[in-house]
Amino acid sequence: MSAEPVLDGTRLDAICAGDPELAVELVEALIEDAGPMVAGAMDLAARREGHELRETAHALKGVAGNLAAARLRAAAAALEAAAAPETGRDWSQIEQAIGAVAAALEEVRALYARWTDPAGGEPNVFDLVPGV
Amino acid sequence: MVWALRLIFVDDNLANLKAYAALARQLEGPLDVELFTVSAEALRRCETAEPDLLVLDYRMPAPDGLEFIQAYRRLHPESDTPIVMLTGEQDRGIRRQALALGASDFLNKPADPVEFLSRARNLLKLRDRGLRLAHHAASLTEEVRQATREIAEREHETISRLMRALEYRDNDTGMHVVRMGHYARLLGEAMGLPAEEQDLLLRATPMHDVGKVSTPDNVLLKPGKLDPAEWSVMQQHASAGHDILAGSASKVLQMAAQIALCHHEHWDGSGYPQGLRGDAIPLSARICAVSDVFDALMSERPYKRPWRLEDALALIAREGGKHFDPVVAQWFLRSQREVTAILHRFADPKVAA
Repeated sequence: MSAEPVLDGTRLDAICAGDPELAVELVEALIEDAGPMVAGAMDLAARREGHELRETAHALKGVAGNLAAARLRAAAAALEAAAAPETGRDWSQIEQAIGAVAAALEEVRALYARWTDPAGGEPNVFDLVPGV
Repeated sequence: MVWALRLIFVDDNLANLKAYAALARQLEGPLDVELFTVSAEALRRCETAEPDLLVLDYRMPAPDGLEFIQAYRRLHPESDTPIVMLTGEQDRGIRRQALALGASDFLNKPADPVEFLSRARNLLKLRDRGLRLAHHAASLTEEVRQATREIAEREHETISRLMRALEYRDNDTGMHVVRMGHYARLLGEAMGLPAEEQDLLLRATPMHDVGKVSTPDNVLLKPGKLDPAEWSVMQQHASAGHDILAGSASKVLQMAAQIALCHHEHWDGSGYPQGLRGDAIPLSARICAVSDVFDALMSERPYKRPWRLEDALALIAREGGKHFDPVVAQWFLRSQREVTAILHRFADPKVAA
């Protein structure tokens, strides 16, 4: 598992100025955007389309970085590096990197589910985010 | 004055845009934030709504960040809208290209919130100051324009009243010079002269006879025919008027001086004081000559009844090429409807018996 936190609480706090509802909204936007990207990356890997895969990993890295998903960003960066032609494109390594990306996104989803779980009361998002 | 500054964010990823919008909420002042995932749509929006801060991603489906900057600067070449482009740290070549195309600043991706807010604040503050300065300059320009207009109107009114006073001395009600100014402007308009020239004609023509202040009463007011010596004295009013009006920096007085000197010149060279012929007579004076003679014919004097309109117009037609510039005379005849309107609008007041 990556040393990076699932979400960078300090960054998320700075973006939202401490507004937990806004934080939830942004993470929701991240999940909505990143989900299709991860699915797309899997598809591209299956078709061995290295160039497009690298582009997708780059875009995913950007979104994850902007929205404080530190672990997802690190995983996307690793995938981007693995898909670069300079590295020779080891497809088993790429498959592994995609697995890490998907796992990091699942962790974000899990965190989001805890925030928004009606049974869980109304927890402050920032109480649940490591780093705050 | 308080106005909302418009921020436009362009990124093909909606989640990124939401993050920027969240950051923008921390900026002070009234702001309109607009988000675009399709850069072509953002560019279309910029055609009608110039942003006060434009934040662009570099990697986007066409137009990408560089193409967007290029298109925007072409769209608003005079605009100083700040443009911030988001690029990877390694994209140094891209940054240089963006700078050459008109980017104002850069932010590394992912954008650091503190850095983002600091840059945005500074750029918006600069933009706001620029807008305020431009607004202030525009209102000052308008104030100067208004003041200049008032001065010009006052100058015109003063001249008009003085000229009307002078006309009273010459057995007139003072409306003769008012009508002449309007005939002259009408002719200027009909002949396609620039608006400024038309306005000068309106203001300068009434001063054509200012030199008559130097004409003794026994000559000016003599009911009968002038003898040769008296006629010679009378003719001097043209040069006298020129002497009174010449040498001014005012365009109105410059034209008035020209008119005063030359309004008795004839197209065929038989006029005075210089016996000028044809185009050697300034156009303003040729226009004045037609206006003056027509209005004198149409006016009642102690020694004559007013002419009938058709007779006066017939004389103007007849004298084209002799007394009058034939072209000016033709334009006057073609403007008969407007000429009649001026006659009625500025008619002499009825004197109680």
